[in-house]
Amino acid sequence: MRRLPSWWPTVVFFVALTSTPLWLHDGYLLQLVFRVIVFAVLGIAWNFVGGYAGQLSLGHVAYFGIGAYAMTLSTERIGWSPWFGVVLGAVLAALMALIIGSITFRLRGPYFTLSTIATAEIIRVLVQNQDQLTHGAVGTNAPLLFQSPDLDAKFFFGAMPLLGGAFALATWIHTSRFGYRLRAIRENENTAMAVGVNPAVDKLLALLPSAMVTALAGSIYASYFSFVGPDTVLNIEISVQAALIAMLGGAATVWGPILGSIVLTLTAEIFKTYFEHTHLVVYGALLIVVVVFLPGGVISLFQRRWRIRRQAGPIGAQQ
Amino acid sequence: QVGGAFTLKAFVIVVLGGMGSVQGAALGGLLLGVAEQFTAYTWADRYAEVVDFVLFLLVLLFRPQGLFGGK
Repeated sequence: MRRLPSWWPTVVFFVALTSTPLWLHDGYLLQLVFRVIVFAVLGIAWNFVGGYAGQLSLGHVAYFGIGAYAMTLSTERIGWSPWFGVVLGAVLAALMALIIGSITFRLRGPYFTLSTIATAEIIRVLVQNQDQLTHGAVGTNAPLLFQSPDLDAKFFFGAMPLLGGAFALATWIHTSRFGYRLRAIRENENTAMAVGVNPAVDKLLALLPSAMVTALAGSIYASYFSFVGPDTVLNIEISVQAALIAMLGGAATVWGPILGSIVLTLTAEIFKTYFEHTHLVVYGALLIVVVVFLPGGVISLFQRRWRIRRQAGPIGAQQ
Repeated sequence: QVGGAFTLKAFVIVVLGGMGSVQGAALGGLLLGVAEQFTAYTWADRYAEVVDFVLFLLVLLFRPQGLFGGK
């Protein structure tokens, strides 16, 4: 029998996932799968900067919030179609990434992480206090990108291209020269510079798509839950989630963030149902177990058991 | 919810003063407190936190070893 081509699991996965609304009619479960997809997108986007380039950003919620707020406010104040707002959000996030990146990327290690938290917090406090423009701490209703009926299914089909696009981008970065340069920066910035990599430029180039994809995820997420507020779309927990999902699934891998999102979002949901008051304890314990026993992320389990061929990448790219 | 803001502030203070420096942390805390209240008094108290983080970024960029941390 001929061996199946190496891309068949990817195709099967995407076809199966895209067809979900056709056979799953439970609104709650669809909403859950939608959240898995959005957080997978977040994890993939974070992975460009945090995984491949090794720059542990905890400020990605800024781009998420910019996407959500740009869509909402441009629709509300200017009267644009929310779809223009989505595009505007991505553009603004890219501009913001240039500004934030050129400041924070001068710093390394924990200082970089702290500075990204600081920039995200600055944006949150500003949004929270510009009452006239942003509705302040109360938040406001976000416009719907799709009209009923079948809202859940439509949002689902809206999120799938985003996941596909983010996945394609990740696949490209994983195998391209650009990806190699990012990994070189992660392993040793000084050595990378010595062999002709310009970390300042490459880190910014990684942050740009990362921020734009994050902003797109932010606007569709806000539209789905039809609400924006500093405590929801600018909450630092979203940064932490994006980072956790990528690292839990497997940093600097294409499939890692998707696995991470499935594991993390589903376990969080299950624990919330069965351990009403202690779910965060169980959740935290699970995280520690994974980090201690599977430092390469959940994906290393699959790599070991089913011997997934190592995709092209330098030594150590997929521990 | 209550702890988060203070953990972050503690971090900011330590970096401000210089990591590993006890006097730096104390002075950093004092500086941050004064800066915050000064903003609140002269401008608006809701922007006090913004000034915290701007101060933090400026120190990180121009004096990464912290204000009082020797190299």
